[in-house]
Amino acid sequence: MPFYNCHIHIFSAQCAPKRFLEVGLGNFGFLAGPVKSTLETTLGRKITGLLSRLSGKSSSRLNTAARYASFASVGTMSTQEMVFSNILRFYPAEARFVVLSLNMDYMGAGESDLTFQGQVDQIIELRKKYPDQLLPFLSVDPRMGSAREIGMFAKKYVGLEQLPDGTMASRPFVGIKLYPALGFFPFDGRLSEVIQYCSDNDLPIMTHCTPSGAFYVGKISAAMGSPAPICQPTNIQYPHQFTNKGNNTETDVFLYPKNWECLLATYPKLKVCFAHMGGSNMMLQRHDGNSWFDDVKHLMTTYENVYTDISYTLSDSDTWEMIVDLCKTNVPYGAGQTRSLGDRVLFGTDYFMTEQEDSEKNLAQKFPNWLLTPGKGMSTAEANERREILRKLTEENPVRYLSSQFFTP
Amino acid sequence: MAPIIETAISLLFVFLVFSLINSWIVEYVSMQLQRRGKFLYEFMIRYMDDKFNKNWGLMLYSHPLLEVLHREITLSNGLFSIFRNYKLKTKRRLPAYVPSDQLASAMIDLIVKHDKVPLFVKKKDSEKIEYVNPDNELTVEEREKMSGDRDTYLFNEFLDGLNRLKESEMKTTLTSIARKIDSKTSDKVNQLNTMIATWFDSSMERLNGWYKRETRSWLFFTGLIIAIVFNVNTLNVVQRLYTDPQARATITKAAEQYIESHKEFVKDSATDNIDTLRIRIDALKGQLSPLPFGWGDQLDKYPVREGNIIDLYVVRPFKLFKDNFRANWLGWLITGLALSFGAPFWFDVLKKFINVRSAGLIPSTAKEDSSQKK
Repeated sequence: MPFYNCHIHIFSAQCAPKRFLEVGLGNFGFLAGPVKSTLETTLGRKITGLLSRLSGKSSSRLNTAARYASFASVGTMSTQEMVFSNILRFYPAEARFVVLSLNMDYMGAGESDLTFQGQVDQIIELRKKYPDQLLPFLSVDPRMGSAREIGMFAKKYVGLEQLPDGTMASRPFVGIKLYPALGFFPFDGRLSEVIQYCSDNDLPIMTHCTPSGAFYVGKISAAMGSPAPICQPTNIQYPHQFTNKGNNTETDVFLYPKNWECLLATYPKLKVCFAHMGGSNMMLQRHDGNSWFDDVKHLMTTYENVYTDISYTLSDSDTWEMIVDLCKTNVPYGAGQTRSLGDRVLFGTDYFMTEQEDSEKNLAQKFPNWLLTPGKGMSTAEANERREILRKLTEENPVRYLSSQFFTP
Repeated sequence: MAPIIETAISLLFVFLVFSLINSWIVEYVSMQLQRRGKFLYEFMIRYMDDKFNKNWGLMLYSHPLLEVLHREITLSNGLFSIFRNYKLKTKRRLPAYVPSDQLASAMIDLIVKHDKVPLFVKKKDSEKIEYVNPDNELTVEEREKMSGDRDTYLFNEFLDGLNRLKESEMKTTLTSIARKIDSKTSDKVNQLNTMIATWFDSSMERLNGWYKRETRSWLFFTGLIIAIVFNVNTLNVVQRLYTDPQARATITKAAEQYIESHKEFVKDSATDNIDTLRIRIDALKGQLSPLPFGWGDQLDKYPVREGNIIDLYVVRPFKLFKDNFRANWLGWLITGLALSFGAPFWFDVLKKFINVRSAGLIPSTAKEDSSQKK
């Protein structure tokens, strides 16, 4: 069975809005222009690589700058093919990757050179070259149009068609990507047709679920907090009133895992993966049972098709034991039965966002190697159990997650 | 009259010589910075940005027909190349020039594929997912159509693609091109290719105009630096030429010889190596030796602390520049401006002056000039 990385990005500088790097560099945003120009040169990339290696594990400012630069050096590669080719070096030849497209046209950071349609077309061309390895998810944003238009858009790229010889062939995208932090609620009424389509056809959805990451940087308007919903959320007051705390904090409301509760109650078979397990900070620092990690666990316990992935979170080794614990958790199901949450945890790295934390080469190896290496005093049974966890994360669970009416991995 | 003409010819030759050096420097730097390639890339992504559909410029650059132009295969050199068992290396560079017929073919391909969603199947035998090539999956009816008149079939595919585009300037332009094609001819796709290529060529002419204007400002700045570094003060040069018949005669003769041996202007290629250039510059400098260029012994006026590199390369040149600025700034500026016109311009003007001189005026000798002065 091939190895799966269920969470990577390959969008290049052409796909990102003009101010994307500025947002990514945070406090160093004012350096976006010079950083981009430098990283577009071969010499600039070489220096960045050298800096990253020299800075090693130190927590100095040099290290921070090098990590940002390393992230930006992948992001400023000129084509998506270059970004994708770069990751292939670190995985077995047969490895498969869930490539998440991202529509950044509405995040308030300006226009991209390529446009989202161009990004989609490039991914399609790339999939023709790597049909077996590159499994793309189509990014959908409610601001793209009406519920019907968005539904049509999704159906155009995710679906089945009959060939003249009667064989059923699938369209290029195998799932749907949502990134609510860019300024929308997942229960937005304009997503109703897409959600219905996913539910009817077992299509996997991947949604970003950690307070950090890219977010809407434009002016937050009251209208953003009150689009007609598919269902009435119970965790927040809706319509939502923004309080002017700054975009970084305000946009978290779009990401609350519990925003999905009413959707999952309406579509209990909906297959959703909450990426990043709610975020490593939430996992490690909040112990009141109300962290996003707890919310994700609650949703996984309640709904049979709710998944999570360890992308980005795996870059913090302090979370590894918690990942194992989650994989070992059995929850009651039906009359006296139990089911394992470990069947719904996926391996992913969040390349190339994670370049800020560690190299992809390390991320692809460190956590799997840790699971494969028996700890001191560990029993054979436990060592085998960890081996089995890795197999599930990287092979078995992704197949189950990706399987739909339209696609069989 | 003759001294004036000779002074002018000599001055023009000075400008030509330094313009050759200036042009080479600008071209060499431009080549290293991929300036022309970047200019073309920026032009394409702005000129072909179709907000209603997609950025055709970027799509063209990633099309296989053009993508291959990004690869520059060069001979591996450097210290470590001896340890390698191969001699060639591939570099990614933005192409400085894109053949218009290749660009047109890629554009036609993009339009044909526009909004056509490809399909993928899982092969039962290998369990691998494969791309379904639409040409292998045509219906019997489509196959008949295609074998009957392939040209019409492909042309109609283009028209279908065009119909799928949202209304935009690009759609209007391509539709108007397609309309000009005679539907009865059996060469429609070739005609389409040629017409789109012609359209690209006309855009490229505009690009060349912009690039030349942009290059001129580079030529001015590097020209100004050359004027300062070599101390080429046009006013001093004119004064020396006018008052020194010997120098004037020597340089006029060198100019005539140069024009005689160069019937057409041939610029030094930026790919010439630095040694070739040095040999040429030394030869030309020899011919210009009677003129007041360079800093000569003036540098010695500024002492350098022994072994102090800062003194040698920063303090001393700066003091020299500062002390000479008031006396020379106008002359340097004129030189910089003159060099911004480029070597071909000065070659043409020099050629005309020499032709006028040899056709209508009797050349004066150095002897006659000196007797006139007496």
